[in-house]
Amino acid sequence: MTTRKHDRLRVLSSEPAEPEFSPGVDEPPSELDRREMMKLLAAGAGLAGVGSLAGCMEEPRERIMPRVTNPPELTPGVPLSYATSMVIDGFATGLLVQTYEARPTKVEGNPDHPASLGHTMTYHQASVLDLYDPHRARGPLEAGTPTMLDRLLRNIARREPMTGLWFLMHPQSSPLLADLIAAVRQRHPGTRFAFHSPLDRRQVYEGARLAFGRPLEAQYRFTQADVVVSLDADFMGAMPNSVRWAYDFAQRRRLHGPGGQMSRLYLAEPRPSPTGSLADHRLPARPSEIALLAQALLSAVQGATAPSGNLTPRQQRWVQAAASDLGSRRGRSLVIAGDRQPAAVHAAVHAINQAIGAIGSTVAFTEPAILEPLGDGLPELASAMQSGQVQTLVIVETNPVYTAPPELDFPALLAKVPETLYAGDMLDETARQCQWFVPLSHYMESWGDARAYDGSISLIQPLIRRMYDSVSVWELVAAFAGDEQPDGHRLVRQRYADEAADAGLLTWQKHLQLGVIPNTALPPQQVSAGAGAAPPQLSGAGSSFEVSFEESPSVYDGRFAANSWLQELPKPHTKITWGNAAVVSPATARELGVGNEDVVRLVRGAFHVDLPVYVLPGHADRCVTVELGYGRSAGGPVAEGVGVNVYRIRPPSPASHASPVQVIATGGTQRLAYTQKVFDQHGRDIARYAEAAFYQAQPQFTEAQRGPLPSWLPEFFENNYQWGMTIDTMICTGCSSCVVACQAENNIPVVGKKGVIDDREMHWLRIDTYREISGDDVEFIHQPMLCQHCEKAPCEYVCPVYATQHSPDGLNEMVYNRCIGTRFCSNNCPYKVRRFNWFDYTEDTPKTKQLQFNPNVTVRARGVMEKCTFCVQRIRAAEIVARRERREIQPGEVATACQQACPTGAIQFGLLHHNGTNVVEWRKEPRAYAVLHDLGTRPRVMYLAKITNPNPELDD
Amino acid sequence: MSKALLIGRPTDAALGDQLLGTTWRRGGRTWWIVFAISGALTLMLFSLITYTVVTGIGVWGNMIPVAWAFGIINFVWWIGIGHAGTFISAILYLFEQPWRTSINRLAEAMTLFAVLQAAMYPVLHLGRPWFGYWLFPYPSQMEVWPNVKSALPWDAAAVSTYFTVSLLFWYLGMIPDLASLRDSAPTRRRRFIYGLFALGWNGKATTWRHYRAAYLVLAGIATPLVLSVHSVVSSDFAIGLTPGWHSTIFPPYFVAGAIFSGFAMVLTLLIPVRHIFKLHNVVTEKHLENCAKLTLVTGLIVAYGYITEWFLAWYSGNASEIYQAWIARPLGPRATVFWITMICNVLVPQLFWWKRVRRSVLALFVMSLLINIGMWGERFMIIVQSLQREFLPSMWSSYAPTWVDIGIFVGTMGFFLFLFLLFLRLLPVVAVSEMRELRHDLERGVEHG
Amino acid sequence: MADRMLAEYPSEAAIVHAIHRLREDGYVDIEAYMPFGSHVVEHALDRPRSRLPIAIFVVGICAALGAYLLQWFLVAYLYPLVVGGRPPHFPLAFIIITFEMGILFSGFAAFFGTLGLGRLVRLVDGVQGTPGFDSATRDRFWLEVSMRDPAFDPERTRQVLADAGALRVEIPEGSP
Repeated sequence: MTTRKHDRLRVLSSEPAEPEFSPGVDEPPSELDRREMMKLLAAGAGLAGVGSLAGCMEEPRERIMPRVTNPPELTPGVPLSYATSMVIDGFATGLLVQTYEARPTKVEGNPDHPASLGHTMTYHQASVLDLYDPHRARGPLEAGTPTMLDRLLRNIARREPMTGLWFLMHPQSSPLLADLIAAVRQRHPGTRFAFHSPLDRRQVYEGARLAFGRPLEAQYRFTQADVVVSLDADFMGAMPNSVRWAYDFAQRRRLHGPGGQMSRLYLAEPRPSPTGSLADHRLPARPSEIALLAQALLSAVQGATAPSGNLTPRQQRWVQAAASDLGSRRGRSLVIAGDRQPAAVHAAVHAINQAIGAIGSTVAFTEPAILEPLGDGLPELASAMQSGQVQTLVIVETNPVYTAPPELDFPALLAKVPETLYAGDMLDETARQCQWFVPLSHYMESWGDARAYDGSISLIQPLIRRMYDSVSVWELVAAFAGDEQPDGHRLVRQRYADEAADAGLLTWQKHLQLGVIPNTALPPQQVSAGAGAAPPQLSGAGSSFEVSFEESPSVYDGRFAANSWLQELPKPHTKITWGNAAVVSPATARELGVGNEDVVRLVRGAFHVDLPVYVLPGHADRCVTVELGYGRSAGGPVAEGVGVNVYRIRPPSPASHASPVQVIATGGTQRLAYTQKVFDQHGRDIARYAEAAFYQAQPQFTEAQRGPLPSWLPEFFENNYQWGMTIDTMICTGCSSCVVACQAENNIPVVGKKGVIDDREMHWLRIDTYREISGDDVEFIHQPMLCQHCEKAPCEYVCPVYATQHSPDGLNEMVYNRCIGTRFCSNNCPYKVRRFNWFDYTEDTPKTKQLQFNPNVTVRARGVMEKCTFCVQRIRAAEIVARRERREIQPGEVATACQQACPTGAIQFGLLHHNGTNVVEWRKEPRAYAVLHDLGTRPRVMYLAKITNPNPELDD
Repeated sequence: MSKALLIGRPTDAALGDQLLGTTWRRGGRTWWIVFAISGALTLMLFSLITYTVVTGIGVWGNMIPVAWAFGIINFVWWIGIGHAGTFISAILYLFEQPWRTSINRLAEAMTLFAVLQAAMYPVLHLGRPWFGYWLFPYPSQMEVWPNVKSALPWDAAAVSTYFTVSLLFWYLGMIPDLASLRDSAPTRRRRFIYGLFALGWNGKATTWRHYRAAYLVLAGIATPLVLSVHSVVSSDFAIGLTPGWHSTIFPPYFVAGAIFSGFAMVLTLLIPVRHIFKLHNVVTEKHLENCAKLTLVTGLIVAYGYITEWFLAWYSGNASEIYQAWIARPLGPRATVFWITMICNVLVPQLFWWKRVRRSVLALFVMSLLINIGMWGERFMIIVQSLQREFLPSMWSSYAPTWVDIGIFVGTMGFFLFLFLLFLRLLPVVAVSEMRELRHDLERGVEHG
Repeated sequence: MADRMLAEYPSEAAIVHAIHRLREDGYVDIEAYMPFGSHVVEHALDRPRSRLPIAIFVVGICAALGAYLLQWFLVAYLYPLVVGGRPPHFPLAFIIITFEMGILFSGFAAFFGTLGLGRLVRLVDGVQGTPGFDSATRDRFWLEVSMRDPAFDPERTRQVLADAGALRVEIPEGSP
């Protein structure tokens, strides 16, 4: 302990430049301040990784297992990756974190982990930035004054048995935590644990209980499903197992040839989601209408001839078509409901799956990985606080002061509690109102465990020694269980002592290396939706306005609001960054007489918020979608004041949507920062798409956009060692995981809201989204757009100083220190993928943030152009290894960051002579094409046209 | 017509006294006021340049996709203006147009000062201006050389050559007048200073012989030069893929535009100068009318350029080109600039068909101003509007300048005026010796051309 | 010490007349000073055409060739980098700089050639400072006869010049 104290003091004293508490705690930061902070968090100054923070470059004291099986000694400059897991609302996703000298720099998916299979979501990619956030709390506070963590924990551990002790935390699945909770209950009888997240899944388990009599978790097997009907389920973007499901779905979806089979997706949802952009029949429906559709679908598959009333003709056709497809493919189809849908809808969906023989074939049920899925929640806690039964309240991670429904008036309730302790990573809204504050360790600093969605036990091992004076959830709870010196490593080893014992230490190490304990997935249960448990009548939909509350694809429920990468991430369909909007359909916008950036007021009873409008075709009419997680009033300069806090009008239940709501145009306007303004192709055949039938009839429909063009220029690149990329747009959901991955890998700075408004965002990889509108239907085509590495690159010959030129292996190279910034290359780039350092975006990067930099990628200075390099640093690293081993580069040896992250595997990269690899075979498919082929630039990136598979019966 | 070129029959002495007198006359109050204003603007220019270089080019309105904007617009605009001078002094000299004599000095001065303004921009608009010299093949240990396949080194060569040759031409032409100034200087100090710059000229016949030969040759080489410079400038755009740039009409179209705007600027400056210095007998209505005629001709060529652009856009059948020419420019963002351009460059010059307009000094002045505006608009249209609407709609956006952009532009105008006022004060506005020659030729009844 | 005699004439016609007189009398080493480049006077003096243009032409051609060679050497020979798939040796692109350099150096040649051949860039030329000589750059024409001229005789020459209509005849002091 003494050594640690010593370290900690060094940590605290190492950066006098930065205050212990984030600036702006007292006063809201001015625009300038935020811009400055933006620069701080924006990627960084020259010496990537050189600047070091005393005390945190060392390995953790405990022995942790590197993933590599050859000796784990650190070789400076040679990265090691370790398996660990990131937990969101209880569900673990296995990750491999790349570290340089025990300094985590990049997150990848863990191929051995069932919830990842080597891929990740945006949140995982960006989590490494949180670790280095200079505004993380650095030590415990007692009523605002710093105190000693050890003493605090010791005092907690020595407390006499308490009465009225309550815990409020995110949903948990950790077996270790389960034990600790039991221990706490034993030591402090009557202790109650309330599990709460703003994006609760309670209704899911409630629905299962309605259908099966007990809470269960549905395990979908999309690889087996020819027909998928989704009722407001964004199962490829926003659900606990999305990474895995996206991959599975893509396996069944991707077409290999004109004649091939592909799955069909029916989907009803209020606003276009990543999953929605792949739907063959996307039905815009207000949240409340989903219930009706579920009802109608149920009766349809049960053979009721007359479809239930109060459905529009379009909805009825949709239901009929879906029902007949489901029925005709018994056992090869499934229906899935969105987590936020009320229990009744889930129950109905279970009944449908029963009826179409999905249960047991395409859907299995297991015990939930989550602890106490139907246990106490926020409402129970609130009523207990109201009645003064809560003596001591321990809030972990979750931020109720910010997220609780306004009816509860949580701050007032909190005031009634004599003793409050908050554990979190930042001094956020709740922390400000609690007596005690304990900094929570980042998952890359903690030992722990959690279950994946399918129940597999995933291990969490630290990648870096604790940077600040913090504890993990397990340690905190352990303290309450009487552990005076809680130590995550010890706790985990004790919990898994038996595995280690009976299988031997080596096996335990193997588990750590894998990051997951094999064969711990929860067993499928024999269930059947008892006919007795007929779903209750679903409430009909009114015609009044509804507000639909969605988690933000960027900042989730607000917990990632301090992450500048996620804040600047363009949202899949709106391309909005740095804020949220009131998203409405064109018809609704006309009805309200508003357009983009006009401010509307959403009024629910006594509560209201003002947001700028964003008009999104394909959105349900008379419905407003708002994203949670913005308008933070505390939690770091990056988070504060960005967007609008819509929790202020969010009802307690159902939390998914509010109705009736008044929508009033205030007449004001407010700038939104979006990265794409025009979504119409203007008939230019940039992003190609076709229906499967058409593709079968005319496989060569993209012929004009590939193949050689006459040119009087000589032929270069005769050698067959050439790099190329192939992107299949038919399985791109636009989730943008690749964008964050690229940002993390390549030290790409963020420019802030003003920067984006000025069209100066720096992303090397962007996702262009085109909307093809025909009648009611909107086809969304996502086209990841990055440097095309043209063989006849227009950018190259206009550079007066050879700052950009071609490498013999076909890369379009950027020589930063030769660039003088004429920007002619950008003008002459038809794809507009080049980015320019208008200011010095990197000079003020704080030391902590510098630790994240990829030491193999130059940090760009002011006034130079930059762009995608095909992750040249990875290519060269692989080449060095290959040369040392006297061999050729093997297929699949080099993966770009975007390729690695992509959940559906839509991006493929490699050498063009490696026949048999996806990158080569895919571009041989007839639907391959090059963007702007007619310009003769000979892009090295080939795209595959998006193919949809609509139901012939349903031609509207 | 000879009458019209030189009114009255002044003796050499009288001619000399009148034309050199401008140099000895003390500046009036108005002169000092204007001079002070231009000086202030010059200061503003250099402080804004400092601000840009210190902070970063981001203080300008440029962005992706519009990575070139005010910087390049103003560069092309100024360099265009800089074309009339050499055109008048060189091409008209070769064509032996005697009327050029009384205005070439002023036009050449204008050229130099305009090119000076222009030359600042390409360096300023760089992301790292302090490395601008990398465009030249200086011997360097890095052994990195400019890429002469890019249009920018062409530009650097053309513009620097143009400036140098114009300067030499201007100075050579001025040496005899400097000698006259030396010999008629009221004070010893002035006599000494002008003496220095006169390089000991004494009007020896032998020297005159070489002098006249050299002058003729300079005129000869300046003629293709003046045509080449704006062709090269146009290739900055023409070698690009950008819809609206990728066009073979650009070189002639740009050269015509340059001379068009150049003559407009000559009129803008000549008319007040003629009024202030009472040069009506030397710079007669005939001169102004000829300028007007040339403006009309070049204006028609420019208009033809526009028509060709529209036609070729349609004829190419390329969706991006068609959209660019037929929708983006007339209807897209900043379309107002397009319409202003069309009015000022296509409609306004048509008034020059009428002799009354050509002879009305006021009309000429106003129209010359309009044409200057129009030609700036044309460059805005070509550069900014094209970049706003390129191949991928996903990257379409619209441009707006910042106060720094505007400040620097106004600043260069101030700097230009500043230099021009100094020129009026310190140097002979009209080529005296050439006027004498002209006078004698006229007396002898020798007709040129 | 004096080495020449100068005579001032009021007009082009007068000096031309005087030149003819002198030439008839067999003077060869005569020179004129005039306020503007009068080809009439030059014609009377009957001098050969200036060879400067030939020199300029040679310089210009060499400069152009040099420019082309330099471009080829740097871009096609030293560093044949692949840019936009263009061939390393790309005459089309080299031509412009070649042309401009030709022009630039011809310009230099013309300018400095004049200064050199005209013996300019000097403060003392032996005639400056002669009383009344300032008028040579204003409106008067001066005729110079070298004392080394075989036909020269102080008295007679002065007489001839005066008869030809000279306003004044001077012998400049302190010639170089």
